[in-house]
Amino acid sequence: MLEVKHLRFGYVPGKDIMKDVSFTIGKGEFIAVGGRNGCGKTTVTRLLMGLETPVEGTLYYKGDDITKLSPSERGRFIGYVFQQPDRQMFRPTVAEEVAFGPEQLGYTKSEVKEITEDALARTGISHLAKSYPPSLRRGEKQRVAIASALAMKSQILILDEPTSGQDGKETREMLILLEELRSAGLTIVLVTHDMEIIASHCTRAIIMGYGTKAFDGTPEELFTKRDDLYELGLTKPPCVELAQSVPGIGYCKSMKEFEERMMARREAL
Amino acid sequence: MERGKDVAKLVYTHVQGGQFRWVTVSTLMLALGTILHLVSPSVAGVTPNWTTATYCVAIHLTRPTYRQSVGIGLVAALINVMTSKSAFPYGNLFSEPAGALTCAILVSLLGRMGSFKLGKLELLPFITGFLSTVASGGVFVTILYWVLGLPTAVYVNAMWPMVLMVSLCNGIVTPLLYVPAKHLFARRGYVTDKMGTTDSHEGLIITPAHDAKISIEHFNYYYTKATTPAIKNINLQVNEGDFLVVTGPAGCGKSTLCMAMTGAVPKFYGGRMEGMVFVNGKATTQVEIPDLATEIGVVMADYDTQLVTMTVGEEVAFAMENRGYSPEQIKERSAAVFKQVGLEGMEERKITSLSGGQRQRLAIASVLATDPSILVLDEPTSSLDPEGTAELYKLVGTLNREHGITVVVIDHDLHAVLPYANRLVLMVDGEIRSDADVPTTLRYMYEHDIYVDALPSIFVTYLRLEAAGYTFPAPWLSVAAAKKGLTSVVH
Amino acid sequence: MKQLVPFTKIITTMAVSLWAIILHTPSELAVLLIAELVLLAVTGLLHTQYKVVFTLAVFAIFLAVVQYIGGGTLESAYVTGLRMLCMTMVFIVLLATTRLQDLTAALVTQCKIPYEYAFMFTAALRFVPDFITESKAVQEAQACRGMAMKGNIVKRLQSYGSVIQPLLLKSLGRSETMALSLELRGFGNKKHSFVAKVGMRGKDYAVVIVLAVITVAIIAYSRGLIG
Repeated sequence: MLEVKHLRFGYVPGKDIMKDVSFTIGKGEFIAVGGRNGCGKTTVTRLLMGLETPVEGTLYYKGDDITKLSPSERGRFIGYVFQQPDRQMFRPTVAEEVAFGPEQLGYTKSEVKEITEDALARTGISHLAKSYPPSLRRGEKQRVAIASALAMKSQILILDEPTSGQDGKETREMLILLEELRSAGLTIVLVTHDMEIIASHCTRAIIMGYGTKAFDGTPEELFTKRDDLYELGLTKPPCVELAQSVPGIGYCKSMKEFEERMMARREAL
Repeated sequence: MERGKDVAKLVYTHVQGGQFRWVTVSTLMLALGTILHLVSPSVAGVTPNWTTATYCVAIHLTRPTYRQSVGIGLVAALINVMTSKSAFPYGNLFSEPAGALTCAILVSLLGRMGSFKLGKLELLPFITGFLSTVASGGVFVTILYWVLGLPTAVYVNAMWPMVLMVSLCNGIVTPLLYVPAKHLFARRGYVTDKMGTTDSHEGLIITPAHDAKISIEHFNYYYTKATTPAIKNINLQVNEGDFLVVTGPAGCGKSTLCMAMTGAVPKFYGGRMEGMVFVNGKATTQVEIPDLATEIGVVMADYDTQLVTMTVGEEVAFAMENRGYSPEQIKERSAAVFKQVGLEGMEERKITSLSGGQRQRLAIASVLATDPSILVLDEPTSSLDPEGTAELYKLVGTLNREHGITVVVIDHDLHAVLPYANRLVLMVDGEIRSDADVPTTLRYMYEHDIYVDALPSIFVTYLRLEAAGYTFPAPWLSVAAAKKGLTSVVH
Repeated sequence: MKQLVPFTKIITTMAVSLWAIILHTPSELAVLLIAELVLLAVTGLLHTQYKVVFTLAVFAIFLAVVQYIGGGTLESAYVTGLRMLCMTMVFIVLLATTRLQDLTAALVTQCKIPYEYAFMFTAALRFVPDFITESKAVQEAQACRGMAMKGNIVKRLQSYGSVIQPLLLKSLGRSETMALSLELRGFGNKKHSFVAKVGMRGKDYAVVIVLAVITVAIIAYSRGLIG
């Protein structure tokens, strides 16, 4: 669906942050983008969105070349949720805030209303439609930002570290929402530091490192087969580490799975 | 001097304080006005005078005195001169104070007559925006006219119409800025009405029942106009050398408790308190906030807003300059603090060139400048990544263990802070549910199903496996401890 | 220039501006202007601040043209342009060679401006770069939601509103924390000390005396008592 070919990028001419980056993103994937700070994990998503222009390389969406499209044009099919959601909020109610996107795209008033209600319902914040955005909690603000992106009818949702600074409950609820959206057909691309989330929720991990795409595969491959995790700025999540110190348990993608297998082992003994 | 009363029976009310709102709102609005020139739209080459618009909004919001308004105008002029936006500095140095004074006069005279409304639109900001710009623009062109000897025809037929056009633009943009601003202020409760009483505990002898660094006794707190207490009968002692972590679900009152330790509750936020909070044996109601701050330093979650100077060195010196320390004392303390925090050699660095983690270190350093023996951190990790979080707690742990500073941290990211803590307090709905060492409180949270999402996942697994019949030599407070426990069970 | 304290430079600026007002023929003002340009060149500022000098020159020429078109004589046009340039260029020396903390210390201790206002001045300047970064981030976020800076004037105004208003709300939200933080750090105390040393020294007094002599000379000259 979204194809990237031989991207090369650097802020300063001559000094590349990344080169020869190619990958394809399909429908319904849950992709984590990770790597050390400064290796370009956020930059590569910004290139996808058009917030930066590549020095070399092309991007295709459903076969069409989108390399020259601006972010506002790409907003029709890619939604970007920034790390700090209150940077974009300025309308007096949540509903009006979410309506901003479709209004910019030129939908009629009744279409905008329908789209807004749908987006609010899908993110579970219909009850906040009349609330004042600055007074919401961080997790709720994030949902408003996600609803704003959904209201643009995007097929791909890119989120930049959405769970940073949130407590366990908000993180858990956010991931449930993202999983719901994914099973409804959206592709989720998550820039994250959180190894536990990568292991437990993502179907695929793209790790940026060594000036290019260092890894592209399943989290299981990443955490069990690669031995340069430290150089890539990653660590094994606790569930993988603990599972590896108990012979015979196999790869566990979450602490829950680890517990279940340990308890089954107990029964067996 | 009255005899000491029973601490549990003490009551203290205070109106909402905060005497520097006019300073901070004006500062931030003028900074905003400066950059608005960069994103400003223009109609036929005429742009609004954003500087005037922003200080008009600031004056509307905070109602400073006439003297303060003239000062705000002067600051606006100085900023324009400094950022090379002033074509003729002498003009600005007189015109902006004139504009600010006009705005202040209009706000105090017309504001008293109730609000003017044309349907749903508020007219007052339009009027003040327009007239203040007429005043400041008029003074500016008049000074140009006098000093440079321009022809009267130019003055009357070209300059004044320009002034009127810009004033019209300002009349339009000022309400566009003021209305959302006022809405925010009202919603957040920043609007100060000085109604209400303020008690005084001067002359009372109040002694703490416990000899601790911080002793909170029978403490209840009601925000102004609230009927239910935000804090219910809290008793808590923090001893010297403790590393205390306070956690709990959102809205449980942990930030309020933190503010109570600094005296900001109730003096800054306003409200009624019962019982007392003692810091180093002194009652917080009997000490002024700045004096208390020399003994207990607090770094708030938004540490970036606490940094108000241009360079690192100035920031650390700020709290000391304000209190009149001599330059030699300031140099000495600064050097000591830089060493403690690990920022040596960075005195001349500009704050805007620092990363988030470095800025937070700087906030901690500037708070340590007055050598407090207690450090309070309110949700320090909310904007840090895992690497930054680890580094932060390493620093705080060092301050606690090697420099003997008593630490109180409010956080919900428990797995990063617990290796350093010796006590964990759980608060729910304004009450303390558990106050014990770390494993005990964690277990309490799990067994009573309170705020379990904050529990480190490793610890939850440990409890569940224990319940399933496994026995481990020690609780799993870290991955290393867990691995040790597992190897002992597996082999 | 760096060896003089800010107060001396402030006095110099005012003195030069005063001379520019007293002198009233193009040739006299041209002499003053050349003296200023020489000063700038000697201190190396002409090289680094040429953009500012250029902008001021453009504005001065503009005013001169306006003067001429508006009915003034050619001579008065020259006077206007030259006087404007003389009075504003001297600020470059003051601002470009003085550290901000020294300037604020001088404003408070010697110009008797209350500390609160000097603080507001530096604090606002400290936040300006952060706000610039913030405004770029807001523009990006709104661009991703379909906002494009094109279209008719109403649409463009709306677009600007969507960038300005989040900035406004965010900055106001911080004012409360900042107000509390200032109280905690003892702001507003009457006894304020300064690390920066800005007291006048020998060289400074010498310069001030020279300025005073020149001022008297110029006044006398303009009254026809000399030359």
